[in-house]
Amino acid sequence: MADHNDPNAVNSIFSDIDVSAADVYDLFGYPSPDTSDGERVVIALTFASVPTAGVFDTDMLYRLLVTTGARVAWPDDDWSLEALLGYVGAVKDKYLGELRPAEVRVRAGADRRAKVDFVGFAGGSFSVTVELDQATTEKAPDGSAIRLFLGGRDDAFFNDLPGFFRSINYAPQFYHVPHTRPDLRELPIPKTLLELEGNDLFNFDPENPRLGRGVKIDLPPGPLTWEGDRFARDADGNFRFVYSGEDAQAGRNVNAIVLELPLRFLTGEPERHRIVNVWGESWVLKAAHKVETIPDHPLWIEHPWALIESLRLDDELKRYKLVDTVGQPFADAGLSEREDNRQLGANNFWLAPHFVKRLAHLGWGFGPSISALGLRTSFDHDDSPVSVHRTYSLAATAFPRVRRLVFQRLNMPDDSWNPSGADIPLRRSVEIFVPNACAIDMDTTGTWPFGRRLEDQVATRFLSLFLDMEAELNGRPYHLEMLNDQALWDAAPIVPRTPPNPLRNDVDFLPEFPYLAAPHA
Amino acid sequence: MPSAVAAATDADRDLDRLAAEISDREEGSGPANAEEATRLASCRLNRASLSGGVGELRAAAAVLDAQLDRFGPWPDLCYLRATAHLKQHELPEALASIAAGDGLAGSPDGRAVRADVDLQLGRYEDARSAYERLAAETGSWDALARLAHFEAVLGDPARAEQLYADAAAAITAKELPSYAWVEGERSRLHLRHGRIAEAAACCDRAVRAYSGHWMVERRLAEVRAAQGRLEEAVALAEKCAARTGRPELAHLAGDLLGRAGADAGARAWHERALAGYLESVALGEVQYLHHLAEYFAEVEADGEAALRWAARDHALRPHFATEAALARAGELAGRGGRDHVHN
Repeated sequence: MADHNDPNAVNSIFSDIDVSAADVYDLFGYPSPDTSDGERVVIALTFASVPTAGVFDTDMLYRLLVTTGARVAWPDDDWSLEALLGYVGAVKDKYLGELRPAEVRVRAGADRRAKVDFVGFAGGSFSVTVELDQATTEKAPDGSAIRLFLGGRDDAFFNDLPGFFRSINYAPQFYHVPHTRPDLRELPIPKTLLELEGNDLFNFDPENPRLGRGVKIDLPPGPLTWEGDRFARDADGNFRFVYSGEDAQAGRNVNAIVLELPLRFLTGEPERHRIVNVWGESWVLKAAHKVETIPDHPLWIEHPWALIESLRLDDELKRYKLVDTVGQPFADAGLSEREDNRQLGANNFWLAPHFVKRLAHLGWGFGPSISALGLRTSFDHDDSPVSVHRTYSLAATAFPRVRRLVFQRLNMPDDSWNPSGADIPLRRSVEIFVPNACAIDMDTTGTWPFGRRLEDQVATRFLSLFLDMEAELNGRPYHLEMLNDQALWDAAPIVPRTPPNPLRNDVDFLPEFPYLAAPHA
Repeated sequence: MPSAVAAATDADRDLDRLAAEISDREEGSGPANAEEATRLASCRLNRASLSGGVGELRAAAAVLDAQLDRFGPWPDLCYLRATAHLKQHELPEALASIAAGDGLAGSPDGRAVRADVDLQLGRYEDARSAYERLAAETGSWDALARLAHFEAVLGDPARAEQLYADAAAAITAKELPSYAWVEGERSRLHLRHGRIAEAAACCDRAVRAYSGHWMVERRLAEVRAAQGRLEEAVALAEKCAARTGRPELAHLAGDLLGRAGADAGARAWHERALAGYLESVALGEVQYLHHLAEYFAEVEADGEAALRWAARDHALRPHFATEAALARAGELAGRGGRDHVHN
């Protein structure tokens, strides 16, 4: 029999696939305020609340990978491309070489319980099964008390995401963009913090003020480019900010895995290993293995206190497919352009040249915007009076533009981040994004980039990377919180006069574990 | 419309879900924009594919035409229209649909359709190189499956099996119908090479992953026949044919009954098959020309009629299978097949 069963019977892009439970959003990590039983670290992984907040997708597996180590101070004196590549190479050798991260592995069952394996920690390996939406404390083999919460929470990310998408001319936020045209997502218009004169596709439209904030229209025909040569100004000479300061995540829920772990459980050398590196991954069960597991899912053969053999776990992981990773905020969304084949977790070393090119591309947009506001930028844009759309095919060509951006030390607004008073060097962009891990310094408060606290406005701090940290404003050096200062915007020729992103979450965080607020009804 | 009782199989459940969504989306004045229209058309097309209903495919194509009239050549709608044309063997129309969507021809989806058309037109090297590039660029299971299909019919069967295995491994638990489809294709490949046990294992995995898929049950019927379990094979084929109304499945049921010696039953199914084929042709469709050629060659042993249908099909799709069908029909008609290939 001939038949009609050619591969074109398969519909690749519109099949009803929903893997959004695999979309990991944020990774938080900081030293716990509770030191009653020694130093502890808080780690929280948030992801899409699919099917609902408090119910986990049973085809998913989430991993939190953890390494500890001593603080390393990289030399300041060499700002060359060779130094950058040398740094990346050294980190790569470490991550791909001797380093064997410990991990916390989570998968949920249909009965609203989840199995959690702790593997390879200094305090031992063990496994527990916990109820979703219930905070619990479990004892590790070394006696460490481990706090866990798995379930629904308020989304702790507070951010003007539409503003960010406006800044990068990301069409799907504003327009219906065909699935078959991925090239129409980030349009070839200069990135910018200030609206461009005549950029009708993305400038704020008073006739349609919610465009991009829940309202979408069809992508208009015609050239999807910009031919202007200046920033837009109103009758009073003010620029228009692409950001609004509005919290687009207000009222949204996530699912979360929140852990509070003693440092001595993570490392046998807590005095020396002051850095805890964490990253998260989502994996989805492969179809072939779903078939195999239907009769007898090993997840529910419970051995609550059994030691986990790594061989069995590795076999388990082969049954899943890695989908998404999270370490640093904006490492994926801002720098990797959210391409699936760039979801590498901490092992993002090969992306270093891409980061350089992407930072230069962003810099040609954000750098002139910063200069137009009378501030100094870390990006070398040849005093361009307006944002420029420029892409690079070679990292070597892009690197001179971003040299300062990647190597400058990022000033903190004051000393509160370092309550210990320890000799801790300020961090640099290159150290933050490669590897793509949340590196928690246990001698700090864990505020970004020394970790990530719930209350950190990381989106605005990310923009601050483009500020020249050697410059001063009103007698103070530029710092990572400068763009969060309302006074700066009050004095700037811009409307609306607001920091780019909201300064705090829509609901208060909790003073005690699990710290993230309860989910919205 | 959704059924009132609980769905008996995975496919039934999805058919109900799609019917409900289609109903919701068609309520009132229908889709408000091209994106919603795409979703509606996609649901229509997916449901047609899952139900196997030829009438549903025609209806889905009509919905696509209506949405294209309403919203213009939105690339996603054009892509869906092209895939519907391909299912109906309307190759120039498929290419025209791809060309109509701005930027679609250069996208991976547009290139995949183009390669499928190239294969149907006998442009093997173009098809192969396109499939190879798509598989390398995207690594997606459907690109791997396309390349596997090419290798299965024209290349290295061992590589085809490996590619199908790779495609199956790339599919997640969120895409079980696709997994079942790939396992069904692997089954067909094994069967073609006489590996009956392996073919049965593929079907078993497919059924356990996603029950009630007519494409899988049809493969299972072929496997059961190869295993000599004709009674089960007939039951499966009759069930598939009755449920989908597809004439080629009626044809299969008739063939299997004929092998079982149930001539009257075979005749009845064959008559249903022929009626379905001719109804399609009367509607101006071309997707059953090759089945008609086969029907007249193998069921009626009517060489002249087989030659007429085979020649019509070959004129539209000059590739290895239509060429073989033409040769076979020519031989049956006593004319020498090769002469007619080049008429």
